[in-house]
Amino acid sequence: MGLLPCLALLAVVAFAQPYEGRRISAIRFSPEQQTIPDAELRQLLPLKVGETFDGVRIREAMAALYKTGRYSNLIVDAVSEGDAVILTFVTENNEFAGSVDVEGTPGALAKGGLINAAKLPLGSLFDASLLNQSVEAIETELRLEGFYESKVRYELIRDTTHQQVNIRFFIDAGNRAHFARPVFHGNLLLTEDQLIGATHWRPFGRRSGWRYFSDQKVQSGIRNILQRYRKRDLLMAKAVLERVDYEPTARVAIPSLRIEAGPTVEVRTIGAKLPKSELRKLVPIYQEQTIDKDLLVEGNRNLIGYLRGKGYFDAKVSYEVEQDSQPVDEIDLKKNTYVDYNIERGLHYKVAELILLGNRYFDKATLLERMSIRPATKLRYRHGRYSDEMLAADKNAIEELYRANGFLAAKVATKVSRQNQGQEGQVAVSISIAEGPQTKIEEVRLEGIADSDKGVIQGYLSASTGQPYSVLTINSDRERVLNLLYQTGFSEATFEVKVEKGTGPDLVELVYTIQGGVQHFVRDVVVSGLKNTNPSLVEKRIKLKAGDPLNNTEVFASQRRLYDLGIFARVDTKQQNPDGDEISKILLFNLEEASKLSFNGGLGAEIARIGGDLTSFDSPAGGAGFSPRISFGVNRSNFLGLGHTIGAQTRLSNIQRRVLLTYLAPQFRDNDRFNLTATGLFDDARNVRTFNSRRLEGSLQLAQRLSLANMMQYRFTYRLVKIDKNTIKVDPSLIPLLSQPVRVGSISSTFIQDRRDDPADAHKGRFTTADFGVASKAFGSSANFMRLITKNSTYYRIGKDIVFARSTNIGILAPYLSAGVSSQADVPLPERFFGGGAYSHRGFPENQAGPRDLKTGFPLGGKALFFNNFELRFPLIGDNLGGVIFHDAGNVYSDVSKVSFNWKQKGVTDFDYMVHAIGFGVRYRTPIGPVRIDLAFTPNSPRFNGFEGSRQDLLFGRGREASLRVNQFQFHISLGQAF
Amino acid sequence: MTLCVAGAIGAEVVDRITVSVGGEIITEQQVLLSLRSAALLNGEPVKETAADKKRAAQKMIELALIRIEMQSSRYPMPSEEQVTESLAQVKKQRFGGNEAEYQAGLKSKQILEIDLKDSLRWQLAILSFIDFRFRPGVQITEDEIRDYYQYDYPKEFAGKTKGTYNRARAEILEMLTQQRIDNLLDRWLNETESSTKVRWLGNNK
Repeated sequence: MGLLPCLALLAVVAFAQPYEGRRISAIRFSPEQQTIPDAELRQLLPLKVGETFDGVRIREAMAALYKTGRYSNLIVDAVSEGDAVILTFVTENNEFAGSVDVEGTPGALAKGGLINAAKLPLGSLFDASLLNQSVEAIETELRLEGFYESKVRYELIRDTTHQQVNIRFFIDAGNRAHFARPVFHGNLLLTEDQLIGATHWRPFGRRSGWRYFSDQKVQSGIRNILQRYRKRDLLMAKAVLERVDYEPTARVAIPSLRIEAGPTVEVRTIGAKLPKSELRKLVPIYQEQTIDKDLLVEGNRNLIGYLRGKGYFDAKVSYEVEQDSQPVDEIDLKKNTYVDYNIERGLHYKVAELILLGNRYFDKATLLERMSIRPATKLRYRHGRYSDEMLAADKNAIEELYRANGFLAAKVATKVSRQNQGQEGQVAVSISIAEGPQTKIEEVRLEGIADSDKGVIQGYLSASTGQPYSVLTINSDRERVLNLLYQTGFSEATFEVKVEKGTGPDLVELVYTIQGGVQHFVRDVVVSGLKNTNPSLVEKRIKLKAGDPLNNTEVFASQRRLYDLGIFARVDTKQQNPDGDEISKILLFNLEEASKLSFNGGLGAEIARIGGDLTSFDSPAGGAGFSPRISFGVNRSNFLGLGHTIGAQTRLSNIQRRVLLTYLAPQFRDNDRFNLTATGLFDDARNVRTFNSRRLEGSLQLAQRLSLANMMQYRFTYRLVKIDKNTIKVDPSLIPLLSQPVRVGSISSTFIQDRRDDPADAHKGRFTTADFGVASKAFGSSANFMRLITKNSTYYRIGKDIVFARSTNIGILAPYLSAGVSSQADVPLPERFFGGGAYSHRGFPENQAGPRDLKTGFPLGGKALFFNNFELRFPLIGDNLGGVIFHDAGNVYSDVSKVSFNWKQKGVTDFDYMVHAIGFGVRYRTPIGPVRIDLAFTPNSPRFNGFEGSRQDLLFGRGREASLRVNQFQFHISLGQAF
Repeated sequence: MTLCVAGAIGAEVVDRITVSVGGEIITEQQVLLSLRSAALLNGEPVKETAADKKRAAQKMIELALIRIEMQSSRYPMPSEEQVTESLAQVKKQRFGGNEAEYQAGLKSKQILEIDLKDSLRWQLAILSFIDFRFRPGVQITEDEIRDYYQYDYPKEFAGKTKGTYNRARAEILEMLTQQRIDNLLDRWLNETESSTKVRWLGNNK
């Protein structure tokens, strides 16, 4: 194309019109009702009433309107009104995609996946001509899951007020195809049956049926075939899916695969043994499924790195390739190949010393946190950690740290000695830091904003005169200022930084140039996708309203509040017409309601000292036992469209049968700080070995989040506890009193403060709970008593990896208005404190602390408890296995006045003394918290009188008394830390 | 869908969108004016057939793509002095420096001087931008210049005395560079046009 003829056509000018120069008496729009508010339209137009007609300005006005993205077409017409002219902008609207819903999704597919496949992003320009592509994309997704006969149609629901089109796809999925015997071509080497077996498409061999077809299974089948070949050292094997044929009569899908087994490639190591799995990771020919010099050289490098990481810092590796029993330089990919890696490991080194020199600004611990090299330790890093790559990365990390803090000339030099203090195999790594001068900020200048705004912005800045120059400070300033501007609708705000030389050496001036751009507002909020949910429930959680500055932080907060209701599977939020140059924007919230019913189930087991005969009075302190457990739960969310959840959880084991019904109203009364929960509980348990109890309980609880860390709970509880008098293992004279059914009506309140860094495995912070309750006859209680139970735990990090944790637990039960009655009898047996076990005092089996029946030796519970735990947590081997040493002290006491710190038990009837346990435990880190095994030794475990025999023996004076003791050695296996 | 004029009775269409290029528009009046400007600058009669309009609009799409690129890279517009100088050259070349003939030309083509100056301003800006954008990507080797001198130069300058290689070199280098710039521009326009949404509206749809 010639340039000049083309340029000659360019004319951004207006045609000389008959109206040129005449006054514009009115500007109108057709249709009169526009989506953009009238005031905003007038603001957008460069043409005003009273001005003279000008073709260029009219074209500019058309361009400005078109750039809003609201219009698909525009015409301007004019009509004379005396000497003046009336202009009318005739508009045709664009449409934008709203909610996309898919009905009839087969269970094998995720609805969200089909919605995504339709490629109709929320708020984007809607083009009806592309809908057929969406239908095809959904049908393709269905075919990939074996629904070859599926049919998809759609329906459009138009919201003309907001220029929005909501799209509903309807799926008639038809029957799903099964796999049929695949067709194999090529050089297989394996039998067809072996290949079919590898695919797992026919799970139980020849006689079984074929699985349902899915693309995912096809791909995994091909991967498994390749895996089968690789096991035979045929690592260049190729398997390609050529096509899938569907046979409608049999409703089967037949994959055709082309397979080339290729030659064998065997990799061997000479001079050192390496696990084959490790070799496969290190030599990339396995991942790349081919062999060439570059890959073998990379494998060589990786092997050296691997050996150096293991302490063989002088390791040497070379390789040789053999084909037809001859060493070769050029590899023929058609021939069987042997690759021999010759390994000379050399001395086995140990990082004996890591010396940091010249660091004044940062202490050693701060620098070590950023480093990978580690000196050898007895358990965790037996040879230390070192490699040339690690050293280079650590050098870089230290220099970066200094530079980020104003030491722009910081230099780090490293020295590695292989003979530390003359000892062979001992490595000393010395890192010398030349910090150099620290650059400081002389002045921070703000540009691009009005003087009146500077004060506000200054309040958000961290950088100030005299402060060390730091990239981190600048980044933090940028983030805070931009956040502030974004929150006030300046979504196009920019923040530029210039660093200029100051007036003195090592001084800089920071120049922050801030451009706000156009302030955007909310024009309207449009919610779509609701089916069963009450719209007001959603509207109340979207705090942005028409006219508010467009605050993205608040948009995301609204999204979070909606997610927190727990009733939506997806909450999409977008601006409609995102690329349009509009001042006010329509905000879209498209919601996908989650499935109303959800189920959960689990199998588990408890291994602890929970055993012992049910009828015999032997082993009151419990014997080692195993209790399998099964649990099942069902929840119905969004009950009555109110966002409330009702649920039932059941648990069944040989020591407990439990059904819990819950009704949860999150964000109670539209306040996201409050949750209301009503529960009903049936519990038939033998978790206290003294008796079997059956509990019926109802409670109503209001939880209030005071801040991120603090929470209050207020509750009313009413329960009826019945003790099976045939199971109670106490002195027969006490049975009538202790086996009375108990009614408890109480009000209580709990304060919870959680400042732990990780609730599942805390390393620092504190956790405090305080619960106070009153059970009163006024609430239908059969006994009056108050209950206070507090717990405070704190966690301290020592160095990088060690944690010291402590916890104190105090509980008091105080009967009132019961003068003249023995205090022990005042609080019903099931309401008393029972303690001891994995989570309170590891010197006791579960619920075995405190007073015991003087005849049978079974625990009777107490009215006060005090437990104190100290624990030192440290790494053991690698990153996942840790250890603890602990000391637990305390007991359950018969009364608060009997709390004693005495070491010694005064006699077999004295249980009011402090029991100590010391022990050791291991922790294995898992994604759901550490798995824990604790072993405890209790030097002063309680001795007590017991009874050997059955209930009948006890009643009729048979059997015999026995002198017993809680086993001094206890073990606990559980999940999560002790506190 | 065709947009119906729903204005007042007796209303006259002043302008309408002919084609949209991304978020930019080219109006019917702009197409007409481009034809008239070209006629004025080339000293030809104005042709306003539907085919002429379509051709003009197609050229304007390419210019709109360049304009979008210029705006996104914030390329500066030429100064008023440069535009005035360019207009003076047009007057001298097209009208022999005769002001009366020039004014008559404007009137006959129904163009205002201010509009013509605006047109020239964009011409200068786009030429400068094309050079800025594509010249750095052009590399001409000595062999190419020598080949051109040996084989193509005699054809271009048939009948004239062939100058020495050293005297012709700079001229050949610039000619080959311009050819390459044109090629690069063509390729860029094709790529950009295929990735930009272009919609024909109005009567040209």
